[in-house]
This record gives sequence, C-alpha cells and structure tokens, in this order.
Amino acid sequence: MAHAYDRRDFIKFLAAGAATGALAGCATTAQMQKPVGRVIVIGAGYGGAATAKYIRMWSGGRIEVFLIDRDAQFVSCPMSNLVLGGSKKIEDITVSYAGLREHGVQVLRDEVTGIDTAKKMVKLTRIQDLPYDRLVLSPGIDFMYDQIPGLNNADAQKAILHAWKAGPETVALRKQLEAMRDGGVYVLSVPKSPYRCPPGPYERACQVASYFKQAKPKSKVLILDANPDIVSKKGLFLKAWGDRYKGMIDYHHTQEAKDVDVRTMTVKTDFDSFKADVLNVIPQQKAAGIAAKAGIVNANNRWCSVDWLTMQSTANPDIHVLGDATLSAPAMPKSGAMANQQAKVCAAGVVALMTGQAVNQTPVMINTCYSFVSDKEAVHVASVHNYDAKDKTFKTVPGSGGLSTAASELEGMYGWAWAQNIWADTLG
Amino acid sequence: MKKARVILLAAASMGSGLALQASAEDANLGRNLAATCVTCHGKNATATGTLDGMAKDQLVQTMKAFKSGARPATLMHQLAKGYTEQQVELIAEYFSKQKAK
Repeated sequence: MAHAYDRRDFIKFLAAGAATGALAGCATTAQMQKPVGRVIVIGAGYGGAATAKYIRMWSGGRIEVFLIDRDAQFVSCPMSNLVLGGSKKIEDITVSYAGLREHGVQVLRDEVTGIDTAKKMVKLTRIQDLPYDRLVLSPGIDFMYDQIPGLNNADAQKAILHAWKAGPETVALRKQLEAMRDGGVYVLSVPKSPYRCPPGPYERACQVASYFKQAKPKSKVLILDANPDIVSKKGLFLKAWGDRYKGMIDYHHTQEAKDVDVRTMTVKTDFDSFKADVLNVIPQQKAAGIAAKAGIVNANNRWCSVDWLTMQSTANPDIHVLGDATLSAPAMPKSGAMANQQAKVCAAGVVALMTGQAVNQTPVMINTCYSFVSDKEAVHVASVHNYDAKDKTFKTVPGSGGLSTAASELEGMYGWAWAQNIWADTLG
Repeated sequence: MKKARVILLAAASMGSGLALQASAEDANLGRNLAATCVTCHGKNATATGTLDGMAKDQLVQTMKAFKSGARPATLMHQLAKGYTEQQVELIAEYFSKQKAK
C-alpha cells in the first residue's frame, strides 16, 4: 500500500473488503480489477455520502473512494425540526456510515486542515496527507457571524443557537424550549435568501408552536424574517398558522437581525428590538471554510460556481463541488434531496472522466421536500430540473412540479418514508 | 464461441459504429435517469415501493396515468409531468432489468 492509513482505519478497510487493486478478490474480470485512481470526498452529508457510494457502484469498484467527515455519524437536517417539536428524538434522525463501508467506501473521521491543489493532496490531522486524482467537496455551509457583531463570539453562540446544522445544537435548542416558562416568547430570526432549506424556518415555527400548544399554551412564536415575504410554501404555512396555531405565531417580514444582546436576549433589526425567552438566530450563510481553502469560492465571495454537467468547480476542474455550497441554479433550492440528486450527476461525471466515457449531456434532477406542519401532518413541494445546454444551467421543466393541495396525515406518512428512503439511498 | 462473438462484434462495430456508441451512451442515460427515482424508490423503499424488477410496460403505463391524472397521487403527478416519454421508456427499461430483492 502506497498510502498511509492509521492501523484502525486500515483494519476497517480490509474488513470492508474494498475492491481495489490487489485486494480485490471478487471482481470477475481483469478489467474490473484494474484500479483507475482515487477520489477523496470531503463532507459526508447528503451530497458527499451519496457521491462516494455512487462512484463505487458506477465504477464497478475500480475507483478508490475516501470519504472524510469530522463527525462519526450522519445526523439529518431534514426532519430535525421534529426533534424540536418533540415527536422525534435525535437518535431517530441519526444514521451510521456502516452501509457505505460495505460499498468499499473508506470512511475516515478526521478534520481536513488544508488542500494542496497543485500537489493534489488533502491535509488531515489524524493521518498523513492523502493524495487524490479527483477531489469532491460537499462541505455544506458556514455562518456569516460577522454580520451580527453581538453573536460573533463563542460564548454568545452557546446562548443564542442556530440549530441549522442537525446535531448537538438541535438537542440544545429543544432543551431551551423545554426549560422556557409558559407564557414565554420564542423568537426565530430567518436570514435573507439564499440559505439552506428555504421552507425550514417556517416548518420550525410550526413545530415549536405544536410543542407549545401541548405543553405551554400561553407561549408565543415570533418570526423575524429578513425577507420581504415567506420564502417557500407560503399559502400552506399561512393556513397551518391560521388553522392549527391561531394567535400563537406572529410573522414580521423585512426584519433582518443586525445585532443581538446576549445579556438581555434581545435581537435588533433596522426598525425595532425584540426581546426573547428563547432566541434562535439563523445567520446568513456561505460555502463552508474548506471551500475557500481549496480556492473554489468564486461567486459573490460566498458560493462555488459549477459546471452542471459534472459538478466540476469552474475555478478548478480537478475539484467537484456540490450541495448547499454551490451557487444554486435558478429555482433550485439548497436541500438535502437536491444534494442527493447532484451527487448522482457528480458521480456519473467523475466516473466518466476517470474511465474515458462520454459525459452525460442531458442530466435531470428532481427535488421532493416535505415540511411537517404538526407532529403528523405534512406538506410538500416538488420540482423537476433539466439541463439547458444553451444557458449551461439547470431549469425547471415547464408544467411540472407543484405543491400539496393541503396538509395531510397521508403526506406526513410519505414525508417520514421520504427520510427513510433517502437515508437508505445515500448511506445504505 | 468466443471467436464467433468477436467476429460478430467486429462486424457490428464496422457496420454501425455510431449506433453502438449511441447505445453505450443510452445504457448510462437510463441508469442516470433511473437514479433520480431511486432517492425515494430504492431497493427496500418503504411506503413508495421499489421499482426494481418492475415490468417495463407497467412502469410506462403508471407514469402515463400519473401524467394524465387518471391515477390520483399526492406528488407523483407533478414529477411525472417533468419527464418525456422517451425518458420514461429509458427509466422503465433500466428498472425492468434490475433484480427485485
């Protein structure tokens, strides 16, 4: 073996029976055994995990794949609002990476500290630098705390949570809600679009209101939206707020969080100050820091532009980038479902480029996104996106897609099934 | 046997090199299009059901029924309208060749 793994990872690698080079015992032809190089995928969320799996599958095991993430397990952002509402636990939305190892993906828990794009090496903390032939970044987002001075320090960020990356903050925000007095006010600050998961904040308002309705009925939800209007599923959310949570949810548009005061739990906008019992500020977002280290943040100093046929960065063709970190195509949301679909375009592109096949010129992606308006009822938005060769981007197919006619328990059942199914596709 | 196959292949590639190339691309096109469905309809899909091993005509007819509204749905009628007949053919062809669990 030319590359350095630590002993534990190497044993895992052997145990997984990764079909690379001399280790391949089950490949049926010499052609299949012949390795064609190594891909390193950074970020094991919806985008990265699916990319790693599909490269292994579609290359017939010929491409060696490392998948690196700082977290030991996958925790889903979609459905994480249900943990705030109390109908699900964090364990219900947590999935192991064991299924990926069965595909021969070498999953490493580590922190990427840098990328040498000239030498094509990834720098890590636990093992030696790892060389790649192609790099895939599915890094997710970082928060632009510099836009909210009072929140731009670690102590403030412990008191005023975003809970916009599922995990410890999800659990911590639920604890804050549980500890809040009846009659208290939960304030949710929504950032200017584009941000991760357009309907997510409005679903969160429903889930917190659902919890209050059961446990602390005198309490209120106050939404401060930086946008001029509800960004997604507007009619369906307004109906839920009016029907199910009448008098509990107060919505204010064009109220961007400009600063916070941690001591008094106050959020300031250009027009007003709002005092909260639980203050939940979702700051503006940008491609996660590792993308900047790789030199591929080339859109508004914030997002990564891509060639949509292969998900290659327009700044560096050796690097593919996908998911929330990309400069989204028109009407393409930053969603887990979209990242899963981008992963398949990326994997097909990587395999084609590395094995000398033609790149698919007519890729399609779809988005299916459920929001829970109560513990059982959900609404959806769906869309189909075709590649437009003239404008070199994805566009929605006219006449396709749409919204639920109304919230229902049937869609709630489909919504939870959606999660099981996309987790199986991404990680199973 | 082996020799015969080689000759056949050689003849085919001389006669219709372009057609072969197109069919090779189509093989991946079907796979790539089907992958858009697998997000919700994978091997062990719950509630939605897997598409692996479904007869080609059954899938084609089901998608037509979703598209026309003959088969009511919460969501699939909206997605079905985003695929052309040719794309549905390729998708159905691909799934018909996958082993059901």
